[in-house]
Amino acid sequence: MQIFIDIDNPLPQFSQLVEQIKLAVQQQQIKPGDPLPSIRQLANDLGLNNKTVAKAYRLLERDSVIQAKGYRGSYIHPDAQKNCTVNLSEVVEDKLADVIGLLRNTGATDSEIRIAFTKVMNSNTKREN
Amino acid sequence: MSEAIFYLLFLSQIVLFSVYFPNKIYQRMRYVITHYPSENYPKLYPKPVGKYHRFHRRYQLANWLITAVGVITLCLSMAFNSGGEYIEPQILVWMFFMVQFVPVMLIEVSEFSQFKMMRTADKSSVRSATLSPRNLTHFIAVKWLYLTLFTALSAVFYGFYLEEFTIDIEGSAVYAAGIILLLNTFFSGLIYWHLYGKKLNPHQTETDRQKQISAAIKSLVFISISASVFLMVTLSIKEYQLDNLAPLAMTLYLQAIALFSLGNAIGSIKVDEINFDAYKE
Repeated sequence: MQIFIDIDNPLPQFSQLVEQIKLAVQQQQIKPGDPLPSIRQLANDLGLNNKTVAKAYRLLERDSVIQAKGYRGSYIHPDAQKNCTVNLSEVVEDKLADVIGLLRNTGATDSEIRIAFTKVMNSNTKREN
Repeated sequence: MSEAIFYLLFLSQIVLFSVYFPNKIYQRMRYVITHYPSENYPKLYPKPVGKYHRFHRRYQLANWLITAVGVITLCLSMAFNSGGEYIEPQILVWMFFMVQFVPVMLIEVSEFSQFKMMRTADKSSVRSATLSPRNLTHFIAVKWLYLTLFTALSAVFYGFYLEEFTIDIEGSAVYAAGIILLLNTFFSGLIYWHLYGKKLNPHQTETDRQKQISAAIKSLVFISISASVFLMVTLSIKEYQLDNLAPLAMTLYLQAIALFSLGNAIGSIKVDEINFDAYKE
């Protein structure tokens, strides 16, 4: 099964990878338990940075589409088919849209919302660190 | 008697490495350039076609010259160096092998430069990769890997056995163990590079790439096995003072290298089976 990356595509390369692997799972071109190439192999074959492929794998792992098995590498998750349909980015966008709508109704300006969003994000990041 | 066999084997080394395989390679290069011309397969020729013709002629000429030098060396050796008065026969064989290796190195270097130009000329923004992992055992049977390990360990064990398991830093056993370790570490690095390294040829299809990886890995594994066997033979020759067999062992070993590298590559990658459509516009 081949995957393709278009370096001129405005969609980030890691997102293209995530989408294509999810699509391959949905179309059953790769099945639960199938092994995936190592990060280095895929990065070298596609001429990408290792970090880009690692980021794609991390996101797929977070979404339980793949699972890392230590030195044995990464495999397609047993529930990958089901988990592929959940798009966390869409969920985040939907929730944010609801919150922004609510704040606008209270009279907050877009600029105030943006500043508050950045402030909350930054303070959360500092706390996590 | 062993001298006559040596001359025959030396002649066979000249023919095999400077006539037979170079001829096969030359025919292959000519076949590609005539059956897959630059008008229809422009991606195959990042340089002007004239340069390829010139390179083919030079490659052929270099091999003719080396063959002539080899035959003259053989005749001179038969006439004046029968007892190894001027040069040890195994050193002569080794030195000549190094000369025979020059055209092969030229091809390797020109191939790297060709791929680099192909990558520079490649304006496509789309890149592809297979979603299957490449593992060593996909390309070579496990029994060969076990045999490589077995022969390497046997060579080391045999070296120490001949020296009654004493560790002498300047002894043959430590030397043999060092050679085996260095060679196999280097080969392991090369195998890793073939498996997971950057794709040099941007247009090569995955099937062709897998065939090429398989041929390269098999060559390296077979050469490693031959090297271990050769080391055991060399240790025996030294131990049992069979010095007159040393040149025979050397030329046989070098011919094994030629067979396992060039012979294996030519035999396992058939030019008709390469997908040249990938090089069309």
